Amino acid sequence: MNEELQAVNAELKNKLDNISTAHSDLQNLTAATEIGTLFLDEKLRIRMFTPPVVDLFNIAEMDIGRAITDFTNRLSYEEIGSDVARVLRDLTPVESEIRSKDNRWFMMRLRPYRTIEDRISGTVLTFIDITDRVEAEHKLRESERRFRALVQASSQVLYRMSPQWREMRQLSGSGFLSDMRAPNPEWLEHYILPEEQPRVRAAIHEVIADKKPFELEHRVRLPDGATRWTLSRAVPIIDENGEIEEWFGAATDVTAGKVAEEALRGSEESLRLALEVGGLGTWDRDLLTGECIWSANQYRIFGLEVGEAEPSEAAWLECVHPDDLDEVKAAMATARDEHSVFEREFRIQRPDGATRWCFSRGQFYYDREDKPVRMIGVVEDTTERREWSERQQVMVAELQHRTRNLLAVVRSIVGQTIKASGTLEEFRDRLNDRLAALSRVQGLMSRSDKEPITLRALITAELEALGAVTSPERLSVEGPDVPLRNAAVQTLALGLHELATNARKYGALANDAGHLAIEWRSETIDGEAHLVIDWIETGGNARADGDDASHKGYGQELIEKALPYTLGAKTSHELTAGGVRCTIALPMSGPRRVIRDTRDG
Amino acid sequence: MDKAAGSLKGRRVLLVEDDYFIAEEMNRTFRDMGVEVVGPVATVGEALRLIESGHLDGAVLDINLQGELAFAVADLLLERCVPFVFATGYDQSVIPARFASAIRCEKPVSPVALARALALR
Repeated sequence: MNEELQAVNAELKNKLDNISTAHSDLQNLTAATEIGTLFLDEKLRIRMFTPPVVDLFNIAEMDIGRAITDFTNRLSYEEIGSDVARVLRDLTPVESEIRSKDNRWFMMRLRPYRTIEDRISGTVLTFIDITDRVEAEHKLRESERRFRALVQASSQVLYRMSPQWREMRQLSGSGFLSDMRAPNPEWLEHYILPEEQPRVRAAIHEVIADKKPFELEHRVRLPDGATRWTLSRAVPIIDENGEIEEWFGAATDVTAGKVAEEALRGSEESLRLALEVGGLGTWDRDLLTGECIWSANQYRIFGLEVGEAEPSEAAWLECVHPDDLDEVKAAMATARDEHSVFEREFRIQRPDGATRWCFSRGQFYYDREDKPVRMIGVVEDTTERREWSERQQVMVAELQHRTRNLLAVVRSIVGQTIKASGTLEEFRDRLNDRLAALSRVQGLMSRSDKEPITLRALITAELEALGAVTSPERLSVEGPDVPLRNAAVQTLALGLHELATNARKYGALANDAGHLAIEWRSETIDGEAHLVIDWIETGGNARADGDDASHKGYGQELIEKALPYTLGAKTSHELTAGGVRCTIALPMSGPRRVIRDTRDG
Repeated sequence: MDKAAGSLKGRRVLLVEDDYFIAEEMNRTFRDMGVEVVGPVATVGEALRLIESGHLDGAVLDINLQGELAFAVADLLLERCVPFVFATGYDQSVIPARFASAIRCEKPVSPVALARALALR
């Protein structure tokens, strides 16, 4: 019996120890988990609770056995009574998140209390403080809501990229780009034009390494296949380890601006080309900083290699010819002070010593206080234009001289012809004839810049006008090609014309048998070189001095008086049995030289 | 004969003109007026020689003498205080400023008009 009692005692003690251990384990467990646990019986009376519950329900050890509904809890949980009743009835647990009055959150689980015999003997409530989690979830939800609102409200494309940009996690296209809702590693192919991909890749590569914000203007492909420009910016989201968690980016359609920019660049380029082609150099001076920009032409006009000099006002003025410098400076100062246009033609001296003429126009720009802040101008090399214009002036002057002189000659011819004409008809014929000769000479002279008038050309023109060349066997024209001075041509031509006309009317060319020989050569007479022209008519009608004396008179006067007077010629003119024999010796040197030389341009 | 031109009577006037017929017409007209004509001559050289060789009361000067400009002649006339007129086809712009006071008669011009212009000097 005692032995049996002892064994029972030992067993009891053992059990008690086990219970004690279990109890203490339970104590420690509840303390360790900080899980508030509240045991209630079927009548909602408190059976047991763990310390975290004390504050929530304002209960103490002595309250065990009282109904929990007698206490005002600090939770916003008025339904505790009905919930417990429902759990006891349905035997299904209730779980809900409950907020305490001091804004803490608890996960409350309410389940039936089962005894080891599987009997329901009340309920167990557990309260887990989930304040931190709930707050975090709130924050997250809040930020997600804001993000969604942002995405919806934004006209921008928003996107998220994986840390290495291998995949696009999401893109909201705002109706501009197609949306991407699930992570996609093919995003580059999808959105970026093939020719843009290397540039985009390079930009990404650079920012990933440095964890710097990404910014790039590039072209994108639209859902309809069209191409547009976007400005895309993305920032890395860095986690607590300093690693990139993801990239968040936004992109805008900048096509309009880009097109305008390109148009501007295009028009700037056109303007630059136009200035270049037009031979205009430009400068742009910032008067506040002294900074200067010269166009390539500006350098070239001033005889400098592009970039050879540091552009500045001083460098510009240094190129101006010293004799013109004061005037240029004064003109600039005037333009600046009077808000007028600077406009000046002046000489410049190139580094190689060459002097050139330049025309320059410029304008000052002012700030609100009327202080000049900028000057822009153009410069043009006008040397050739000036030379050309000077040449033209000379030509115009010469032309005027020639025209008026010609009128004076015509006036004199008219006078001479009137004197020698018996009838108006005679006057008309002779005048027309002489004017025609004069006109032929003018024609030759106007072309003389290109082909100097030769004696042969002069003679040929006269004979052709008479129709004499139709019988070439009756004509010999012999002599070297001699270019004649324009100043000598007119008088000589008129003389030859009179000789030819007379030969046709009365001399060697007046019948069918006569012969005319015109020969010329150079010869020294009285120690001076002369061009000697022989005019020899043979076999023509013999004529007496009395024939048509008046007409012969003009021709003869031309030969015997005018040629010596005007050209310094030595002449002889005689009537022979076969026609006229005439010699004209013209000086080849001196102020009245008949030969054209280098001095006659 | 008008009065002004008549005042040239008995005066020594040099005629420089390279066209023979124009020169001759002037020569005749001036002589008919009683002018003692010196020349006419057609070259700068001859004109200079004649100015050097004797007193002159006036001169008519063509500017372009067979391609040679006659300003050297005009200079010598100025130096000698001999009044003169240009008979030329050239515009005033071609004539150097130092001859601004000289009358320029535009060709074609009648010898009488030249005589009148010279008499006004």
